[in-house]
Amino acid sequence: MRKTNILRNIGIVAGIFIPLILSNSCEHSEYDLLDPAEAGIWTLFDTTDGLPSNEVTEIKRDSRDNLWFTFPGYGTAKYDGSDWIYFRTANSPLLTNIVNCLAEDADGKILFGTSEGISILNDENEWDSYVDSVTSMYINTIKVASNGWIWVGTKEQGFYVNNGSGFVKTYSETYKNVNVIEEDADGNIWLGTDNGLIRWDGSGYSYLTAADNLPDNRVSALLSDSKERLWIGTRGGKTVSWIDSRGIHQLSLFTGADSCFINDIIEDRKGDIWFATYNDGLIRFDGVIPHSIKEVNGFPENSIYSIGEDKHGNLWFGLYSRGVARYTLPIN
Amino acid sequence: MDYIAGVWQDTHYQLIRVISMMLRFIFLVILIVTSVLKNVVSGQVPGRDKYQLLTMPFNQRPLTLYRGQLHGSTGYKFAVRTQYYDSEGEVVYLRNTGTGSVYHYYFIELRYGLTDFIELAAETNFLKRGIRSESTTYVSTTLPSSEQVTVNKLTEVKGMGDILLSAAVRFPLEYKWFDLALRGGLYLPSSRYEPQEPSHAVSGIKEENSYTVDYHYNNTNGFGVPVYELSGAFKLTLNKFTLNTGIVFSDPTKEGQNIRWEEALVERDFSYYDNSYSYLLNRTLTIYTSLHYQATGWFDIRLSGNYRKSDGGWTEYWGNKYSNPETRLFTIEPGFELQISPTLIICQNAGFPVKGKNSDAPFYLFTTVRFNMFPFLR
Repeated sequence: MRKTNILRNIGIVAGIFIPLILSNSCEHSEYDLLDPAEAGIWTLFDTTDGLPSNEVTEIKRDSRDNLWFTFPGYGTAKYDGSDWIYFRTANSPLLTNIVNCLAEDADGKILFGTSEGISILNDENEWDSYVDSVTSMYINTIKVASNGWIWVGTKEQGFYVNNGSGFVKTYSETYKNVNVIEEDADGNIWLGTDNGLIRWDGSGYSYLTAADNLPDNRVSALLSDSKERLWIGTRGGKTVSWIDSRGIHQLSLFTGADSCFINDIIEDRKGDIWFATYNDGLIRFDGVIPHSIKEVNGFPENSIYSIGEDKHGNLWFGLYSRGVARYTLPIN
Repeated sequence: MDYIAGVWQDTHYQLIRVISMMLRFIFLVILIVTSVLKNVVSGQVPGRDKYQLLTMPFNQRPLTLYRGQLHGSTGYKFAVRTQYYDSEGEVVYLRNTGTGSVYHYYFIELRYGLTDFIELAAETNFLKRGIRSESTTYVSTTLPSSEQVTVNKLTEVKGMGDILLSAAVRFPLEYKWFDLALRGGLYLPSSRYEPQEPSHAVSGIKEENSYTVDYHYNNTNGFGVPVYELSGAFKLTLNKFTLNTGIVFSDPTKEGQNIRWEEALVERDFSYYDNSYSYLLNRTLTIYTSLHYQATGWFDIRLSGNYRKSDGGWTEYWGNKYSNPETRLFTIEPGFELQISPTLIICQNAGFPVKGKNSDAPFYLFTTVRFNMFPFLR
């Protein structure tokens, strides 16, 4: 009887507790963890770090996580996270050193928008190019749409579209300057011109101007964000606009000025919207408040051309005359 | 230096793992031995009746309850958060930023003596605290301008905590002046741990771009993942003096998933979006020691010291995993235990933070009422 009780007690205790005792704790430290002290830090790169110029007009990340930079008059550069590789006419078949913008096509080729046409670099480090044999082709912007079509906006010459069968030019005097091109969540293509917005819905064009509540007709920046809003920055508006399913909305950037010149717009991984301006510094919109970041806050320069994001979510800011500033997002 | 720090970190983790395994092994051995001896050792409390056991002073009690004994405890901790320790261990006074706060912590626990040497316990808690940040006003970068937004922020934490189920064993010898016990437990997520949708509001609208935003974040209590806890306790009594010391180790069983809320203000109305992220809780080590003086049979006064350290976890921010900061806190706790009647005991501790790192440093008052009974024995 006693033996039975002993066995029963062992059974009860073991049944209840042994799974607990033998449960495995979580393994720690199997990741490359970042130090919280590295968050929220600004780092400046300029010619003293080897950049060919301190004027940086475009920053884009490719599908291999390289960051590409354009330096008007000094070519372009690739940064793979540790090394910089520079391309200019002296060491490559680049059409010209005046590189204004870039994009990656569906095949992984890098398209450089220059003052003379498009230079193309493939995976094998082989170069190609496209120039308009009839007119000049000073390229302001390149956008590769989700369907693979390549949209190219130019100065004075309208825009070009390549749907896989070659570039086709579209020109009208009213919309001859195409500054920026973006694709929205529904697949519509938006072209920002000096006379308003053009929307291509796949079958035809429609137009939006200041008369439709845009802050200004000179559209200089567009962004389709993760919340299906299309942000619109202009060269003269007092506000920035965004379009969603409910219509056009206005956002004051709290600059206090009558107009603001927006060069670029980006959404960070946190969901904040960043505006690069001419002369008004950076503005980070957290969804409620626009926060100003200027020289008085320690930022290197009040004029910013472009914003890019690297594979870690760090933001890179191309400046007018001070190089590139990198910002690691804060963790609170 | 980084290499040395890395080696130390690895050694540190290995050491903690070994301690954890040793505690588990000892716990298992004691469980088996106790189970075997339960029926071998008879009459563990010779010559004592139920009344004697219920009125037993602290310095004569073992570390676990007697067979059939039930403790039902309920407690309330009122804490005032007026300061915290920063990453350098320096005190930051929150009254300077207007962000001081209080919190209310309600606690309930049931402990039952399965045998004279094995005890089962269950506990949970409810936490309510609100941290109100200093108001901030944002104005245009170019003045004069009528654009002005004032921001108030309230971060509220409210909700049930996890349920800790635990079992404790002590060596199967009648308590005279020395006792040793081990406890193993598991925190089971029992409540909603994901933060609830914020309830922000816009008020005081004066002009198009002049108004007040009241942020209200609704956070919850609990770990979100099962966390196991192992502890060892040691008790030594010499006449009216008792030394009680122990170590508690807790570690999450797995990584967790949670959400962060993101807000967008459109035409004075807020829209909310949630983003998921992963995390690993810190492992925590607590060492405590208390010195007791049994003034009378019904009154025990004590002075305790608690040292708590946590590290080893991480939190994902925007696709990157960042180490959680190491936290430390050393607190001194004077207190007493008052036996009102055989079935009612009141305990009270006051906590005074002494030293720490990356940690809140609240002063607190913790009052516990304990009902002491043998519900199934005549």
